[in-house]
Amino acid sequence: MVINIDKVTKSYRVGSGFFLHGKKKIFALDDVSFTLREEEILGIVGESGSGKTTIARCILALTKIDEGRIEIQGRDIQSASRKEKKDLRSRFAIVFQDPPSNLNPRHRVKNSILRPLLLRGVSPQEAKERALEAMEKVKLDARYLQSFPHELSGGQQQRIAIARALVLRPDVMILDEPTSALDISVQAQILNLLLDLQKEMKMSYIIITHDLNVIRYVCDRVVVMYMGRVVEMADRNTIDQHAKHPYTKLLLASSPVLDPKDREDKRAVRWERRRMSTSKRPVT
Amino acid sequence: MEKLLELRDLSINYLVKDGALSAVHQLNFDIHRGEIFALVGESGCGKSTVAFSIMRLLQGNEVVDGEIVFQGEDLLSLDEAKMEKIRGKHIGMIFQNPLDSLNPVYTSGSQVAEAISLDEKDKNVILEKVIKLYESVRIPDATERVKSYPHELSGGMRQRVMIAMMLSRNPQLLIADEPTTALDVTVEAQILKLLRELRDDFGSAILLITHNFGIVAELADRVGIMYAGELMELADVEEIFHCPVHPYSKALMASLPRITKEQGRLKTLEGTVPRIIGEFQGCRFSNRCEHAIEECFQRKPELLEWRPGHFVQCLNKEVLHGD
Repeated sequence: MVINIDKVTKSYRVGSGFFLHGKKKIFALDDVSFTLREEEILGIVGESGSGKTTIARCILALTKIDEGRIEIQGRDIQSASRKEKKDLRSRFAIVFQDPPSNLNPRHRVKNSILRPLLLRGVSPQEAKERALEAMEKVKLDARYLQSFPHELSGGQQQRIAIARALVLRPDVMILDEPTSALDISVQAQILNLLLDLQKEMKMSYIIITHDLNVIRYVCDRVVVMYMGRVVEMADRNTIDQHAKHPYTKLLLASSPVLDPKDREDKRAVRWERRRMSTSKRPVT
Repeated sequence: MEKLLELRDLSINYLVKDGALSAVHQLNFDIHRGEIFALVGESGCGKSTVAFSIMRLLQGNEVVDGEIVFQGEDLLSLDEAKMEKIRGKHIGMIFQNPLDSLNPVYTSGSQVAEAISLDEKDKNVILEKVIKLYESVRIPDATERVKSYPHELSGGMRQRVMIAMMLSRNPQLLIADEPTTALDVTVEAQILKLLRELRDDFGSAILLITHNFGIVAELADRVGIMYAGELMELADVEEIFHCPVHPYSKALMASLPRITKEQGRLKTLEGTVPRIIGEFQGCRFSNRCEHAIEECFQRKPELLEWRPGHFVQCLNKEVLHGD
């Protein structure tokens, strides 16, 4: 097990006015527990405000938690020393939703990729080699190292963001809505790339998304969050076909279908049909 | 079915530093009364430019050719005063981010009232109408909500206010440009349902502009697939999803995540959309097309009827008639 999250609670103080200032609490995370296993792709689904991004921030110790424990490879991250935190963080990489927020617009791509390495004391020579290696991994020509982010397409920018995450050779990648800003054909490229990299480098992923179709394609297990709580957690097929919690069912029913035959009015039939078709379909 | 809107050889070129950038090229399609027509394509394919050109809301640095015929009148030849009467009254539009369309310093209700006041002068009647509209777009507690400012409303509620505003004048055509992109899935489903009801109850035609095939599958009756400013294929929604003919449509359909990783891999489409300045020779998709033949690089294909109601723009006979 790579990450163990145990009964984590995180609240923010809100409230305005003289008497109420900071007296109200909003629970961003309320008693959240789950684990990420070795070489697993875990999906976290939920709508805005469900706490899915907060949990990512807590794992990276960018946010302090109120209660509970987050263990990373057996070590408690919240109580770790600064040096230990830095060390632990280097095993993690995070890729954000929209590519521009991953890359400094005023720096050449090369700088963005090299910086995390140089900060950790990797020699410039080795850093360069690792940058080239990462570019190869994300299937981008090395000449893009000299480009500025705005000269690249959305898909290329997202590849660069992934390359930047890869240079540290992380064990875990946290991907916050990795494809929601991309066009459908580019989305397919990025998803395939992520799947290849995960196999090749034996990483674990946490993919945070609201797109159930993406979850269905890439994830092994799914955590469904609602208002700061985990309402359901199971492997992908169970969530897809035998969801128990009403909120999961609502999400599934609201998620746009990718086939006009499955429109809402035909939905009841659709569940039955898909259950049958998926069980019969040969695994390739 | 009766045609409400016809685009005839619509071409739009943006004047940029290095020449005329072709954003839309010889586009032809019709929208019938009461139908939901989806214009789909990847970013930069010109779909929003089409929407803005119908409303005549382009910036002014472009050259527009062809005709946009709405109820027998060419919108492009109307003067600004006449066009002003068409906007809102006959053709309504909602945008991706409702917060950009609402004024933050006025209550949402007063902004809807402003739209109504163009036709109606009695204040009490207007207020009543606003409340009725709020109810018809399923905003709960409508009498109170009309007093809310845009920032007090959630994203879904704001989009509902936009739809209410658009409905207030009961247009025959509604243009929805990425109406749910900024919204959560459950809210998105509600807005899509609302749009569908609009069509069913009021008979408005909807031109849906989107890159999200999920929304197309949920909502559209007919679909036009755009690529680099041209229509590649136009057909009923089921045809597009189940038997796409054009290599581009096929590639898009194969890249939709409809499987699990154990069942196979998504197909991808290599290369990028060409940026076309000045004249272009051949098919605009030819450089990325698996089935491109020599002719594809020399001659522009035309959008031809492949089967009744199903139009394809492709030169390769094997693509059109093979298996």
